[in-house]
Amino acid sequence: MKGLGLLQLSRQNLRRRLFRTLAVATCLGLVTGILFSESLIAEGVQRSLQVGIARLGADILVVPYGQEMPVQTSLLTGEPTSFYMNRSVERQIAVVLGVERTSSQLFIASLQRASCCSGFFQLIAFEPQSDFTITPWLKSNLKRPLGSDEVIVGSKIFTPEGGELLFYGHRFTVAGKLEPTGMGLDAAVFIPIQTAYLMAAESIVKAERPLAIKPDQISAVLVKVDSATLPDIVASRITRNVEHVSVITSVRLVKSVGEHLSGLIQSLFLLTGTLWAVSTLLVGTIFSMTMNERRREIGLLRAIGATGRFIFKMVITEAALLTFIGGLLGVVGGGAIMFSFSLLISKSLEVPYLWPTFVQVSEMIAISMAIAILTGLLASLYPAVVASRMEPLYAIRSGE
Amino acid sequence: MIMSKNSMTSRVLGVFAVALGLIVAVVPHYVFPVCQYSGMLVQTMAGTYIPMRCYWTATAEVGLGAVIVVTGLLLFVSRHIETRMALGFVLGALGAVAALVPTYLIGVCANPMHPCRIATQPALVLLGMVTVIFAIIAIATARGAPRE
Repeated sequence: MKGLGLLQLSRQNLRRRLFRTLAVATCLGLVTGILFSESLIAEGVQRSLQVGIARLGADILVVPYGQEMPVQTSLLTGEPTSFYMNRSVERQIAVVLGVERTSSQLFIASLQRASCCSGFFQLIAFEPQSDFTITPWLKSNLKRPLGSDEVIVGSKIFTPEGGELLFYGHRFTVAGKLEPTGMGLDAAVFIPIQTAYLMAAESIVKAERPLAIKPDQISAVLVKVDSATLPDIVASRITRNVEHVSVITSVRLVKSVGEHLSGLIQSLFLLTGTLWAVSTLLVGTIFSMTMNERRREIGLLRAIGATGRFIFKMVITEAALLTFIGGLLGVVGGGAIMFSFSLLISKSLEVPYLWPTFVQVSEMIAISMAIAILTGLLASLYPAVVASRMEPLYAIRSGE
Repeated sequence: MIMSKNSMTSRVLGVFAVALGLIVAVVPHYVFPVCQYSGMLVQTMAGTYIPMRCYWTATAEVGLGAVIVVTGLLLFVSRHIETRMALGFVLGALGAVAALVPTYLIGVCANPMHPCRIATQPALVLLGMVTVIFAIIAIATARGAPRE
């Protein structure tokens, strides 16, 4: 039987029953596509949080009491928010045991549909001397300090480098654009804190609505914890020692996104599991039916010298090929949809999203394809054993 | 009348092309509407409001979708191999233009967070690519068909 290639024979069998091949491949493609998309969502959210938290550079974020939800929403989705507290809070936090560094930030929402503002954005004003969010980026990319009327923008701000932005009547030049994180930081505009106070002072005459911020006000204190202490322990100390503040840790931020997504991911995995079970049954049934229809063909193959092992391998190869096509359809389709609509999905689910790395995507493709092929192999195992045990004469007669 | 396998494939592809054409025309107005439908307009120096760039893309896609529908119908009824191949090429070109209109030829809004950038543009690019794939299948099946 060496003249007739196993793969060639299987390919011909699949082409001869094109409708069946397409129906089964589509069904498996659907399962693989959903599974692959789920993995992309889970991995993308995870990566976005990792990159975003690394960009933020802080282990703990201290905000005015009751503001943790708006801050979390702003950090994750970029929804602009404004809130203020007294600067003295930073001094109180700096003396807490385990705190290595602190830096203040001012969160300002620009005005919506106002001639004095380029758009509705989250402005984040930072202290250039103590900052660890933007300053490391400035050192490695811009290689100079930020000018007083210059801003750094997130990747979702469409104004190009060198372009101008107007906030509360104050004109800024875009000095640089940050790499995407998938988080709300991508839709933020970073300005030096002194310029923010100046902008607030000028807004009385320059803006449609004045920005009421006093120079002793800040919105948040970013805290870096020393390497010997756990951020949760320092967070508890801050809550105990500093009054009227809420504490957000990076761990809690990741956990809140996880909780937000868990329902959806669980439902999707349940759906995939059900679809996978149905597909396995479907492929198994279709292969059993096909083997029944092909009794005569199998009998003739056995009669001209094909061994039972060859028949078994033929059925298994056919199933593997079919599921490979299905898997490929699913991975390409799911990947194309996810790649095209990742922003829409991220916005609809209200979660941060950053396309996973090449290695991560490759791993997910390999796993999805392996699951698809294993499904085919598992489902065709019984029909393959039955077909390989058929007596040639009985098979030819019963197939007539 | 017994229909040949290739003729049947051509008819199925014709039906798919008609459906794709309808989807291309409908998507930017109803499924993933462009900014105009969210009340987003551009204010001119004179104070009047005009539609954004994505609106013209949506308008162009209606015309393109209509031509894809007509091509699909022609693919459905055509019997000659040469005609089917030519229609396949036309369908491919229309698919490519459907994908290029929201990206290069007309484009959509510059703001990456606008609905036209998040949903309409990727949807139209995907639909255009699917149309091109169908066109390639139509050409390949027509090429492989025995001459009647």
